[in-house]
Amino acid sequence: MTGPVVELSHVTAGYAGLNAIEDVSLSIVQGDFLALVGPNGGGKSTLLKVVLGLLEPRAGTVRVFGSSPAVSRRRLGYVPQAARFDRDFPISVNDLVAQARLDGAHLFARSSAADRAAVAAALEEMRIAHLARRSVAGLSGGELQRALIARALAGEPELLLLDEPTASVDARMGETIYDLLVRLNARITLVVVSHDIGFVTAHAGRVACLNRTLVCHAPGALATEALSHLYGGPVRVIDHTSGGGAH
Amino acid sequence: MEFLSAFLQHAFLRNALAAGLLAALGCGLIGPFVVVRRISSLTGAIAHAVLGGMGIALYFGGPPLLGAIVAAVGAALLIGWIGLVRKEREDALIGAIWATGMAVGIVFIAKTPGYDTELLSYLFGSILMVDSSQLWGMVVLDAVIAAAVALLYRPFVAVSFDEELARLRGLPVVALQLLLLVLVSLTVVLLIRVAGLVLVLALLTLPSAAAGHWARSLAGMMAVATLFGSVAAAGGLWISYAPDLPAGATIVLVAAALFLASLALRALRDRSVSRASS
Repeated sequence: MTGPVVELSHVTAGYAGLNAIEDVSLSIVQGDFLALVGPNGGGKSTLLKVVLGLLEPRAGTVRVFGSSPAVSRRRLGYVPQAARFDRDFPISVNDLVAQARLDGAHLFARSSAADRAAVAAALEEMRIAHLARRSVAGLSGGELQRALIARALAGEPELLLLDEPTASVDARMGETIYDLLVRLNARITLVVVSHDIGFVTAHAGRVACLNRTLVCHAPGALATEALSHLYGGPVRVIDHTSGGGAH
Repeated sequence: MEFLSAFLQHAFLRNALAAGLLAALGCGLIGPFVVVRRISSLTGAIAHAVLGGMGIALYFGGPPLLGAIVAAVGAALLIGWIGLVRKEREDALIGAIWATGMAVGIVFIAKTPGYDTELLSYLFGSILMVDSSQLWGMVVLDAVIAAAVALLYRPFVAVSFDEELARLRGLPVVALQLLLLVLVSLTVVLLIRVAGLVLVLALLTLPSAAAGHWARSLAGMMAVATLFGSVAAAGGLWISYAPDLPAGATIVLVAAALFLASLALRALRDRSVSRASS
C-alpha cells in the first residue's frame, strides 16, 4: 500500500444551509492513530461522514485508499455514537456484530462459516464473547460500546473511524477502550473523534483540532498547547492514565 | 360448546377462523417492523387510502381487491418517496393521505348504486362473510409477505436498526425501505376483510408490541406476535359468537387485553428482577 489512506483536499461540507466544515485538507497515512478533537458542533462527525461517503462534500475532493469513498467503503469500519441507538430494538449482541458481514452484492446470502468466524473473533477481541447471546437492551454503556467496535471489526476493516467511543462510559471503561484501540492500531489505521482531550492526547499519535476549519495539527505530545488555542483559553488536561483517578 | 358445534356445522365459521389465522400470520411478520420503526401513523394513512382505491374500483365495476392493492402500494410509495428520497418531513403528507383517501372512498361508494352497506364492512371488517376465493387471495398475500421476509430478513433488520451501516455495507437502502413499506401496505390489504380499515392498525401493532415485551430478536418477535394474533383471532371469534358481537371489533379487544396482560406481566417481572439484583 503506497500513498495516504485518506486524502482530503479543501473539503467543505455540511447540512441544510450551514457548512459544518470549511476548506479542510488532511491526510492520514497507514498506521496512523489520529485523534480529531474540537468543540461540539465543530464538524468532527461531519468530517467522518465525508470520509465514509455518507455525506457528499460541497467542494473539494476526498480520496480513500486512492479511490472515492463509495468504492472503498467496504475497507472501512465505522463505530457510530452509542447514544444514537434505540435500546428497545430486539437484537442480540451476536446479530448486531454480524451486521458488518452484510454485503449489498450478495443480498440474499446466508451467513457463511467465514462470517461466523469473523464475528466470533471480533467478540473475542473486544472481550465480550460471553455477551454474544444477550439482548442489546440489557447492556451497560461500556458493553454496548465494545459491541459496536466489535461490529466494525467483524467487517475486517483496514481503516477504523470511531465517533466518541468514550462518551457513554465511565473513566475506567474509557481507559479499557483506549487500551484496546492502541492494540488494534498495530494492524489498523485509526481515526477517533472525541471531545475528551485527556484520553486522546495520552494515546493518539497525532491530534487534529477542528472548529469548522482545521485549527491545528500536531503530534500528540504537542497538542495541549495547541488545544488551549482552539478552545480560546487555558486547557487543563486531566491525565487519565495515572491510576484509576476520580470516578 | 355451542361455538364448537356451530363451528363444525357452519362453513362460514371455519372460513372466518382460517381468515383470522391467515391475517395473524401477516400481522406477525410485518407488525414487528411497524412497531420497532414507529411507523404506525404511516400505516394508518395507508389503511385509509385503501378505502379510496376500493371506492373507485367499485364505481367503475372493477375488483375492489385490485383497487385496494393499487391504493395501498401507491400511498406507501408516495410517503416513502417524500421521507426517504426527498428527505422531507412526511407527517403532513400522512395526514393528507389519511383524510383524502377516506373522503374519496366515501364519495365514490355513495355514488355507486347498491353499495352503501359495503361501506360499513370495509370500515369495520366482515370476517364472517369471507368466502373461499377470498381465503385463497389471503394465502397468496401471506406467501408473498413470508417469502420477502424470509429472503431479506437480515437486510431488513439492518436498515431498520442502523441505516448508515446498511449504506456502508453497500445495501440498496432506499429500495429496501420502500419494499418494506410495500409489504406493510399488502398486510393492510390482507387485514381489511378481517378487521376493517379502522381497526387494521390495532392488529398490526398490539400483538407485535406485546411480543416486544418478551422477544430478543425480531424473528422471535415475529413468532410471538403471530401466536398472540392467532389467539386474538380465535378467541375473538369464539367470544363474539354467542352474544352476536361484531367479530372484528371483538378480535381487536382480545388483542388489546392480551397487550395489557403482557404489559402487566412484564412490569411485574422487571420489578422482581430489580429487587433480586439490588
